[in-house]
Amino acid sequence: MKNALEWIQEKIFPEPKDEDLFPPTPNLDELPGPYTDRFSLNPAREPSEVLGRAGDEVENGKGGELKVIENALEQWKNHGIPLLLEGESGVGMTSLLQAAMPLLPEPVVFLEDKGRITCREELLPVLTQAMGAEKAESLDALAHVEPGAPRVVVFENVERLFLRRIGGYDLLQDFLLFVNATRKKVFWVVTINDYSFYFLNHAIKLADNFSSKKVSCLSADKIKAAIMKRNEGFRMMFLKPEKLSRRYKQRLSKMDPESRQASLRENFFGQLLEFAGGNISRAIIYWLAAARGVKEGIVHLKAPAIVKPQEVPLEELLVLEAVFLHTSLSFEEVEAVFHHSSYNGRLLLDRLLSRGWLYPRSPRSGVQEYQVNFWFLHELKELLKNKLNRKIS
Amino acid sequence: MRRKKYLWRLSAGLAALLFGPLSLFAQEAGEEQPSPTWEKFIEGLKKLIPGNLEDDFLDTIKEDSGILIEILIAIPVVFLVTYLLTRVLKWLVFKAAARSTQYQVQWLRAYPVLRLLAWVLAIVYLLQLLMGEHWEILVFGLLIMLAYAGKDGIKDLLGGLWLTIERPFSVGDRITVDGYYGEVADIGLRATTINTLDDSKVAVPNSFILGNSISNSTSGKNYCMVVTELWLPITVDVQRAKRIAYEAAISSPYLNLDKSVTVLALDYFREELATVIQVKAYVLARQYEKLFQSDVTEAAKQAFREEGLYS
Repeated sequence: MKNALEWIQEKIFPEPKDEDLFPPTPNLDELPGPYTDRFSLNPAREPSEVLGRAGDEVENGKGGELKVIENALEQWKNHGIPLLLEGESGVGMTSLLQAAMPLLPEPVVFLEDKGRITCREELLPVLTQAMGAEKAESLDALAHVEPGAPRVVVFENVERLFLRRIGGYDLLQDFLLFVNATRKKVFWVVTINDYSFYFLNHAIKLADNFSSKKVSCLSADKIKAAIMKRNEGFRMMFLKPEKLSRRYKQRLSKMDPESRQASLRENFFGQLLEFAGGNISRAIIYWLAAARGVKEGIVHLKAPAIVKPQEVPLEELLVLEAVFLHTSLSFEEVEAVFHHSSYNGRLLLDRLLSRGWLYPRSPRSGVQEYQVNFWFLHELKELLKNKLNRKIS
Repeated sequence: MRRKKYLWRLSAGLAALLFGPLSLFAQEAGEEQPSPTWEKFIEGLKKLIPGNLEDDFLDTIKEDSGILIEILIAIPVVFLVTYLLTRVLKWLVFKAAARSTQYQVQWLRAYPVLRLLAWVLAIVYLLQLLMGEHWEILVFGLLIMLAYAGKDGIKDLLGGLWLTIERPFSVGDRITVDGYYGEVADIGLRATTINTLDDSKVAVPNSFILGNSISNSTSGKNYCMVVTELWLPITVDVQRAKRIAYEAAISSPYLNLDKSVTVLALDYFREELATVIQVKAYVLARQYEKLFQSDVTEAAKQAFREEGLYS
């Protein structure tokens, strides 16, 4: 029956041939290094690229998010309240803070995320650097150090200070005590992943210690502009997408080659923006998955098919949640969080790695950490909402 | 895609079965004389049976039926179709419930109502089919009902109807009845089935539930409170023990993060002296109740030992 229908459809509405519609795929070399460097997930070179969040008004050339930082600075000057910025991983919080640098009084110390901090011995040198001191015996002693002038300290990804296990909150609580003790002389700006914030707010009432603000996702126009900026100097050629409906193919067959490319471009960016969901990192990985190669200054793009991830068993979902909660975890840390036997823990991580849910992060002092793949970030959030009843946005 | 089509066809089939009898009523309402419903029923049956082999027989009973033949054919056919329909409904509802923990409770609560509706429609259809021209059968039926009114079967049936309408608990709730604690697997017209935590199925007659007290720890929500007790020597450092117990609870992956965790310390002076640390927390879904308790106990015991709280 189905074959008969297909036969009739083919007779009445013949499907246009691919070679008539799409440019032939040339022999492409791999993407050149300088090109992929433009699409690295490191903070944007021009932080202004990531200003202009969805729903924000731009005022005197400043996006709403910069106004938030300015207001928080005023609040600190008057009441000594530190600032906590929470947002989804990959929405450009670091870039936003870098864009805010000119607004902040000197000196500014930027403590970027260089991996997890697991004990006081590791935390002390980081905070010593923050306070501009040369040496300190303990956190208590360091809290009494008087910096020459008020300073700003940006502490990225505060979730790297805790581990979800008994005794795993002590270091974060020490840090909060330190922030509280030094809040008159230091304007603390702390960032955190939104899911860690959700958890820590329930577990240890983290938000009570700060004035907390949410960094929302970027608007669609901004994401498109950021991508185009990175692709500057290259023309685009759109190849046949991996998933293409018959109807759309027929519409394309009625267009001239130029309009066809314009339509494919519109379709491509529509899919990219839908996939990104306001997250610049997801937009970047979509672009890299689509870019097949560069030839004579033209980047050839083929919209990838978005495949729904397979059903995840509960035990794997719980491991994914734990990794997501801490931004990144090593195998030993996963084991400590779950009291797993080493066999099961390793096996679970290997399964998640092979399915692409996790990827290895660059090792920190010989310790291999794993992180949730941005490709599946929103799918994981959906699973956490539906399967574990987590109330996250 | 294929699966979607399959489900669509199945839903269309179910709708046709459900609303078929209703359409018969609608057709008859417009006519002056009541139409021979029996003839329509047989015509419908003929369409269901492939080939012409049985048609002669069906034609004969269509023209010269008699009440006994009508009962012998109509009742089994209607009951069988309704039974199959309820099985398919159950399969669909449980499938939908398994897909989303968020709406699991709503799906599970809907099933007994849908099933009751299917059976009521089937019985109404049968009465319409058989009683329209044979009022004596109604009287006969009433007599039977009266004769058995005192019997347990009728009590259970009425109990099942009451449970479906009143809903003191629903499928998926954790209840205690007659000393059995477990998850309600099914609320039948005669008995309610409970899955105990050791995976035994207990069927409790609905009449028993009607006449006894029941405790429901979930009350239609998909999460429930779990109390975990940790027994320690009376001389224990209570503050340290409470902190460990709290961190064990908030670190459990089965915890419902949107509800508060309470940790209490109580002293017992009975056979032996002991301090009991009581952790009151909600689990993210009721099926994780025991996993949560075990996780908290395991993590806390390990920490108590490491911090020397057992000595």
